[in-house]
Amino acid sequence: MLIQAATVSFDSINVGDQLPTMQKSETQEDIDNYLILNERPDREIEGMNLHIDSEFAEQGIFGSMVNYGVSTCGFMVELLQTAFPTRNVTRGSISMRALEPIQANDVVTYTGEVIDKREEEGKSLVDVEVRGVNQMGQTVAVAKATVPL
Amino acid sequence: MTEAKTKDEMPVWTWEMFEPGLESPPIVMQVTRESIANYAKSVLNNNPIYYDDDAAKAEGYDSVFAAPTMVFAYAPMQRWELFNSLGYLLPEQTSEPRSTPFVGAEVTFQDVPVYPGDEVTSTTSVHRTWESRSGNKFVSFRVVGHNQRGEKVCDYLYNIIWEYSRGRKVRQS
Repeated sequence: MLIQAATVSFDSINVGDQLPTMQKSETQEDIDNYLILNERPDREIEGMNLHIDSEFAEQGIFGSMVNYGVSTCGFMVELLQTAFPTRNVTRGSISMRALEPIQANDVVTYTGEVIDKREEEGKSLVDVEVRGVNQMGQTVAVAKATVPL
Repeated sequence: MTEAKTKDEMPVWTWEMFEPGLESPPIVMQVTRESIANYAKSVLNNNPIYYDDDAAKAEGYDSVFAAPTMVFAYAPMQRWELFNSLGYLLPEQTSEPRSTPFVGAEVTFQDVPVYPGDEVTSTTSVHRTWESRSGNKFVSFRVVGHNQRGEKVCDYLYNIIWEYSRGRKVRQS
């Protein structure tokens, strides 16, 4: 069954239920914008940035510029919000791992599946696994989230 | 805080020096309507609850509010500031820089909405270090932030790879 935030309930949810699918593709401009739009107070000492410094990134661990991993986490939480009310998501938690670099213009498809439902200390909890897969079929990020309902 | 040194005089932090509990100076960030909208825009999120008060009120909020993962923006992970305040540079800041990229995050949401006008004070500390069987070295930083009323609004771990044992992880496409 497909879970939707507007109708989801603890009683109706089952292990194996799917979250809606979501696709995200970031251009290099989008990646640049993450830094521009979230500017920090002045730093005394700057450093190289593998998200926007192409020469540095090409010599680095991934051999290319990559997106901000925290954006990937943001996409995964946005996916959770399509399946569960935001009020519930913000009482839960997420643990995500970046497995492969995401480059500009990659198309990443995010999916999710209910892997457990349980009652613990008076709370009704749903455990979800979220996965991001790029256009080459590589799993680029995985997460486990718990949402109280 | 150590005596101020120029960047050229500062030594580079090394793996052996990590110690859980080392903490950055606090950083204070003001949350505004603009910063809430900018964050949502930066993660390609068009949900009107971050841009339009009426949409947010329809979801039971007082006004637009910070997206859950805006914790990374209003309570930023400050590893550079942490080690710079101790008188050291991190690898990205040296004359021969190398990256120590993000590999994951663990966010425990606090169920306290962050609204325009809120002020969040946060610190970053070394949470733990570990080494994988293949020899990769990782560091986990913990970021905790409170609003101006003393309510905890964020608590997350930000994990980086300090050293990749195989040198590079370049995509073969």
